[in-house]
Amino acid sequence: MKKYIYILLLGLLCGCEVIPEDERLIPLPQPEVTEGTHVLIEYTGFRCLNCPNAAAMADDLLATYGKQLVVVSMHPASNPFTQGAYDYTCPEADIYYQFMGGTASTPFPTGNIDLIEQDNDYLTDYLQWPAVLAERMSSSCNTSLSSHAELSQDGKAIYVTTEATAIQEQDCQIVVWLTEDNVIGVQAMPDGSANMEYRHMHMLRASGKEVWGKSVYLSATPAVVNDTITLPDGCQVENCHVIALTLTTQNKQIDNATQIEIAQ
Amino acid sequence: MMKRFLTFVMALALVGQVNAFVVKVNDEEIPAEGKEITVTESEYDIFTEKTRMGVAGYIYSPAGSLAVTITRSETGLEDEFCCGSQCTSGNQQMNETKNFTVGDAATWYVHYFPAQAGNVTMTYTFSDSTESRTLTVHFNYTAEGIEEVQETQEGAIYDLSGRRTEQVSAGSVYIQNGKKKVTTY
Repeated sequence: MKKYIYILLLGLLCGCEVIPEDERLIPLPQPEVTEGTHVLIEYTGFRCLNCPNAAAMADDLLATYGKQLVVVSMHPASNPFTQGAYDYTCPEADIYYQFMGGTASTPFPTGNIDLIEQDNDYLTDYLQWPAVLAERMSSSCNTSLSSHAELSQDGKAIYVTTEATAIQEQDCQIVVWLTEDNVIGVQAMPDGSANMEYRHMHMLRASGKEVWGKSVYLSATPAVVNDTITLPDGCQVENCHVIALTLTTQNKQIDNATQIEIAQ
Repeated sequence: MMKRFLTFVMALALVGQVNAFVVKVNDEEIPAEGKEITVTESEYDIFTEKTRMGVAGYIYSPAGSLAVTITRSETGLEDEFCCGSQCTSGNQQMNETKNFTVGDAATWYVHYFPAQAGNVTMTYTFSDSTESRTLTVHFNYTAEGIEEVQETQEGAIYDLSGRRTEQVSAGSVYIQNGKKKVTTY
């Protein structure tokens, strides 16, 4: 019996094939990246242990796509991961969060790309962001936009002017967001510790006057939309950016976006 | 022949164990008849600025989904239960059932924030589609006070909004070195 087992093992070992070196790695076809800027919305909270991992993933994606990706970190007040002695929330974050089906029990970290639904769900686990974004990057934009943002003389508001056009005419919303980088504060870390010096990036601080933006009919003729963002208390303007984006009115999907500095 | 048969049986038993529903607390498996523990230790929670008592464990659920029924000894208690990356705040109800999607394995923990000294009891029943395990936790809390400081010590200072600050005004509450402090007049 032993003899037969050894012969069988020997046969299995000899069955291995030598694969030529140039066939050992099969390159995957890379998706075509079209023009336009896409938006990654990251829902996060300072009590969420795994959220720093999602933030690192977002940073990797920014390094990959550069100006074709904008990341916005939203801290919705209705999720327990944002509740406690510290407040990084804003009302707008909760509005978008609940629109996307977020609840008090939604697992964090989670996110969304371009307000697109995946399998009838707006919210996507952060491990799926690279795949979803790669697919989204190959879709073309119907609209194009450029914006200018300027701090008011009293330093309490930001005036945003956006000019937009569309290849195929459609009803759109022009949404403007204020985000802040380098907000130093507390964050739960994956090892369970509390990092008191954590650098929160791309934090949503406020939107324009309308949370879902101003309505505009876009065509080949440029349309100009003006909006105002009230600067929240404690915001460091020098760390802030304005993001302007076009939403299709019909399905509230983000078609294109731009991130700009604030002129002072 | 007998050796081979016994090895085969042990292997089957091992596979059966790997596929079983397992719930652990403090690295100890909760048996089918349930388990009861008492928690007396508390610590300061930097995130909520409250005193916190906790219990943690591990779940292996082949079914991938889990229902946790929480029964509290009284209303108005502040607690939260987290399993994997899902967290749920206590609704201060006596009884409630939460559903979690855990994959096949996840850690879980309970945080209880006592408002006053005393004993409260919480019972957690972990159930998947085939089995359940029950854990009864007695939280026995003795109150602590806020530390007062006469002068500023080394270490970064944060206000209650989580922002780093260089100064604290008299009579204000601030956080330094992970501890909540109040300045004296």
